Amino acid sequence: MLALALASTLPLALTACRRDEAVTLRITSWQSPEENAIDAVEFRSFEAAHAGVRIVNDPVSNNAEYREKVLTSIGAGSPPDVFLLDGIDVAAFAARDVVLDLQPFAERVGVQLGLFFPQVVEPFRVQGKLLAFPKGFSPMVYYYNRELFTRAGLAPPKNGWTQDEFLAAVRALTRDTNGDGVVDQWGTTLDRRLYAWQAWIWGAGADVLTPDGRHASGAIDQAAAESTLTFLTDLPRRGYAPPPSASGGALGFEQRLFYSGRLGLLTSGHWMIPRLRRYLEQGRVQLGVVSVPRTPGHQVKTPLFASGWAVPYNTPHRKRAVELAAWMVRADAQRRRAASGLEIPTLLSAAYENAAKDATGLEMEFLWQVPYGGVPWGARVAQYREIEKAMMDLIDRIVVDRVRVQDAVREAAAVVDGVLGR
Amino acid sequence: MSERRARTVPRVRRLTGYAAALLLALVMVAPFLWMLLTALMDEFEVYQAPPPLLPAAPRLANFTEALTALPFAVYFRNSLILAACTVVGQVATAAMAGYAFARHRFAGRTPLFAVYLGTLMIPGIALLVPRFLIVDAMGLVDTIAGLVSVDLVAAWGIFLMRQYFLSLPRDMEDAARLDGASEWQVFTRVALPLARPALATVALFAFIDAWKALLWPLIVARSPDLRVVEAGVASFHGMYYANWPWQMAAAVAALVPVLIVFLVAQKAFLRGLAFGGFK
Amino acid sequence: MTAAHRRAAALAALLWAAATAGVAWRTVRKVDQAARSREALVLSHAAQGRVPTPAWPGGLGARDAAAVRAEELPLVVRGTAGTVVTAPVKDADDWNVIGAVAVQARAGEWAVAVLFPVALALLAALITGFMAGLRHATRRRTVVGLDAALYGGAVVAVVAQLSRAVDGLAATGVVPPARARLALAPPSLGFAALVLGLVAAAGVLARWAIVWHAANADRPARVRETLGAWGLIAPSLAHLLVFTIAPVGFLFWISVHDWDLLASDRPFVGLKHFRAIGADPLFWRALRNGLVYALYVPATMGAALAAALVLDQPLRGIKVLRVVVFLPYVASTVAIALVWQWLLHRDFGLLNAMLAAVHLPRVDWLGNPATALPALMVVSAWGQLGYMMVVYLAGLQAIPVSLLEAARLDGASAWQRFRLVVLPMLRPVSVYLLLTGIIWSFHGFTLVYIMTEGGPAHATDVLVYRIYQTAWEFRRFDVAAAMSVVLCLVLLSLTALQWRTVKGEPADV
Repeated sequence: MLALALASTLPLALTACRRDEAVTLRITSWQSPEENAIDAVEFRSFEAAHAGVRIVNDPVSNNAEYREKVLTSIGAGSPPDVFLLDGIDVAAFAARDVVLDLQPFAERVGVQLGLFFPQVVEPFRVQGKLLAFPKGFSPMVYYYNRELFTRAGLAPPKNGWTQDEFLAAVRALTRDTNGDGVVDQWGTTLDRRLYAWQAWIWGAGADVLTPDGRHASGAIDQAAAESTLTFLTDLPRRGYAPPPSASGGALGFEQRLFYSGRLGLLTSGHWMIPRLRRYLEQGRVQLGVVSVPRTPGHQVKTPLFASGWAVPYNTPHRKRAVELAAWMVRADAQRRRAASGLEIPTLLSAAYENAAKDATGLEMEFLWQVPYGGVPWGARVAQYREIEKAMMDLIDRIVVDRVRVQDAVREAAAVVDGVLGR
Repeated sequence: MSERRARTVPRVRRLTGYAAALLLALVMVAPFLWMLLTALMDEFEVYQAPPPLLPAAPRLANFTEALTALPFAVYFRNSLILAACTVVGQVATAAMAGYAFARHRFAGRTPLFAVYLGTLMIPGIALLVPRFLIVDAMGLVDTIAGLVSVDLVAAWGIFLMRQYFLSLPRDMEDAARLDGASEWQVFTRVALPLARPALATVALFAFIDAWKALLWPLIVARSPDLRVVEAGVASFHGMYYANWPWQMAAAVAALVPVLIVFLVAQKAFLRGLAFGGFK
Repeated sequence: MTAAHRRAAALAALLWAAATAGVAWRTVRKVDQAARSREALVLSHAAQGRVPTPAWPGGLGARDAAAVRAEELPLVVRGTAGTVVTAPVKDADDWNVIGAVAVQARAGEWAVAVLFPVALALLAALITGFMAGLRHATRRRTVVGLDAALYGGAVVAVVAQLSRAVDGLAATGVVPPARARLALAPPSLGFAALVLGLVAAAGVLARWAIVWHAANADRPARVRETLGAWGLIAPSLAHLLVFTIAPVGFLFWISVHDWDLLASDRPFVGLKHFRAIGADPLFWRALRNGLVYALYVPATMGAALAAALVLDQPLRGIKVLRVVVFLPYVASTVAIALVWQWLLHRDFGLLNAMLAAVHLPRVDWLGNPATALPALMVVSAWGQLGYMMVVYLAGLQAIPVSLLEAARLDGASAWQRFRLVVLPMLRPVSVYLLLTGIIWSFHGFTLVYIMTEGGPAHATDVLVYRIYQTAWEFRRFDVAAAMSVVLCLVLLSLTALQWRTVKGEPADV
């Protein structure tokens, strides 16, 4: 009897799909209410252009909860029709073969991939497949406080600057402003998370993993990586950065220090702009953006963190879903989104148009970074999240447990090799 | 009677009592105050270091802005439905099963109780996927029924009721039986009224649990009109984005129903007679 | 039957059970291997864009037309052998449907389909029969009838299920699709085992109920009480079975398979995941942290009892005070975490400001591995105080005033009344708080998640946070399930230990 019940589910599932006179497309993302308000414009115009289609937006602001929701619904076989895919999760999704290859459809739905920044399309390409239409991105950069630089008698840093110039700057920026014997203004901070220091390692000509992405030994334990990690972990040890805080949450004290003008340099991405914009316009803060320092003899290389609209393999409305994903990245939509300032448009035209309108000049600095952009390991290695944790532990081992850098990297390399060798 | 006794408590002792209570209160009220003050701040103010204590110019508009930025009326309705169903389900089953475990000697009692206790051991986060698959198989995803289904019974409530019934003297029930009351009457007319404080406790915590539930409602609901308040509050805090004043304004507003329920539940603890005072 | 007879019968039954188990096991392996070794049948792309008139075996009904529109790829063939299922055929770009392919499932081996369930059913019958045989076999006819019904039903259900274990796919369709992948639905052994397991359990229970009823035929009051109690328990039991016990069973199942939420291949791997977590030093670190962390529970209970005693007094403003003490429990966890992060901050924290005022060195409470966990324990204690106080307040109401009056008239001091009357009367409630408190201390991770993310250097890493991370960040649900099982066992043993310690008189707690 139960067997019969099971057997009967197939035709039931099929009849459910037959009612195609009115299609409801479900789209989900980790976007904030403000961004959703912008996207709502696109949804309405898509509905207007496609009779009989209704779009239900089901966003979850928190990234962790978003992940739980998307994974559960795809796993249970009732996926959203379109979902936002984080560039660093591409490999993990690709390994499970649950995302539709959009490459064959791109032309047909009017997505001309040649008009996008190639560096931003790259993370979404896996073995010839395209897993999402890139929506927006950001490189990792350093924000600096112009006022503090001027007060310390320093010239503003220039893109392509080196570790030594960085060190000289943070040394001059760290001071005790009220003279009570305690430092209350720091040159910079040390962020334990891999995404924040990946560019440092790259800029030294080193890497976290070997080029094939199979090992950490032979990469993170090499001299160049080791000396960069020594350099970074020495920052708090020598007092140029406050001790790294345990949690880097959204109300992190590092950001607070920066916002209140007690921090010279902070590494982050474009996503800080919407928060800052109002104050930039009012002239309450004067900021600049500069590349992550490199070592002489090597080029700047910074991870480009992108997100894109993806379609699950098992959506019942594949055609409409792909069309919607394409709709969301067309030039008009990108322009509107760029106005919110959260991320850089993935279409070259929209990005440069937006940068040309920007009075602060920051947008151009961001665009300067793009040719030096690299694909984050998450787009290539399915176990990236575990590697991220191991790298955070690596910093902790050096800073908290006071383990010698060369021992700590060897330990971390062994852990990561174990994860990758599973 | 209590009034009289209260008056006989020596003044010094009473003052120490107040002082201790006040100290306790100050420590306890801190997060709430922080929520309230943050809710009144300008968005940029929150980001200062050291963090400011008071808003420079209290901004009441945060409340109206936050509560209209998302359809909170719908969220409140859903949360109330969820909480009401949870309270009814948990209180009813906890009272029945707790009473049976505490007062009846029946075949299979010990192993069954062990199973009930055993269900407490698995963390809810581990049950998320299996439960979703079951609810999905029942076709209840994206329905109110799916929302309320998993928490209609709580083993902790049953355990609490059992322990409470155990601590109650049995004489009243026995007297009722001698008077010819049926077992059902003994349960509903004698035992339940005596267990009012415990019932109120279970109801209170069932309400709070349901009200603060975030992950399950988020995952089981697909349509925006099935969202709950907690999800709305959480919406103001994303990966690259946090509007603290709005989030805290919404959180403070979300506290109001909980506090009302607490005030109502607290009546059950007031039997008009304190436990004798220490003198 | 003599004792010797009974022993011989028992021995024979055991041997038979062992033999059947062996056969069943081999069959299981065979079915399993057969299912796994078969590669998904990939039909090559041959006749692109051409749509010949199909010759459908069994005709193309309305259902098949629906299948064509549904665009379901890959197609998993379910249903009994002989079932014809259609898959859509797409154009080269896999977008428009241009035809369909019909797939017929061939029957599996007869022996596999029948021998296996019969063996399992016999095994189940033996186990229950053996157990029932240990008791008085009263009302033999009822028992035999029940058995026949139960196992007959089970065999039918399982045969019906397993005959669906199709052994091959015959593609009888017309246009081979460009990319359609046709895969076999694996024979659902899990389902068969579940049915038989449930039947076996039901058999045990039913037999046990019959035996029990027969033994208590002369005590109607006892029978009535038992029925009444089960009636009171039934609603909660039904719910727990579906929404908790079944998921827990599923969790156990996941823990011995390579199980990925998004992958369809989920092979059995035995204790692999348990060995993996056993070899993971971080797991042990988290377990140790959890055991230390749980110590805040008894301490908080003491404080909560004191608070309840204070707040049970009829003082003015006491209602407001109760609300206040209760506030942290209802306040948003994020707010709590942030307030405390701030209070404990190295540079801006209130605590360090106080230390600095008396010329003591500043402490990085959450950044120092030695102080981070104790700091979290303090925050947890503070957050749980209100909850425990409310439970104690309720508990205090159960104490008859007359008892306290009598004690007072006997000249007992306040302390004596507290120690000799109040404390013993609160025992059941205290047991509740201690047991659930310890369990929940192992379950909560929001504070850790927000305040320290398990750091610094894993000093505040707790088990459930690792479970969460492993499942949802690393997407290793199988390993997380294994961790959950271990956590469950740890908590069970802890609870058993406490139960034994606190248990006075049998019915007391």
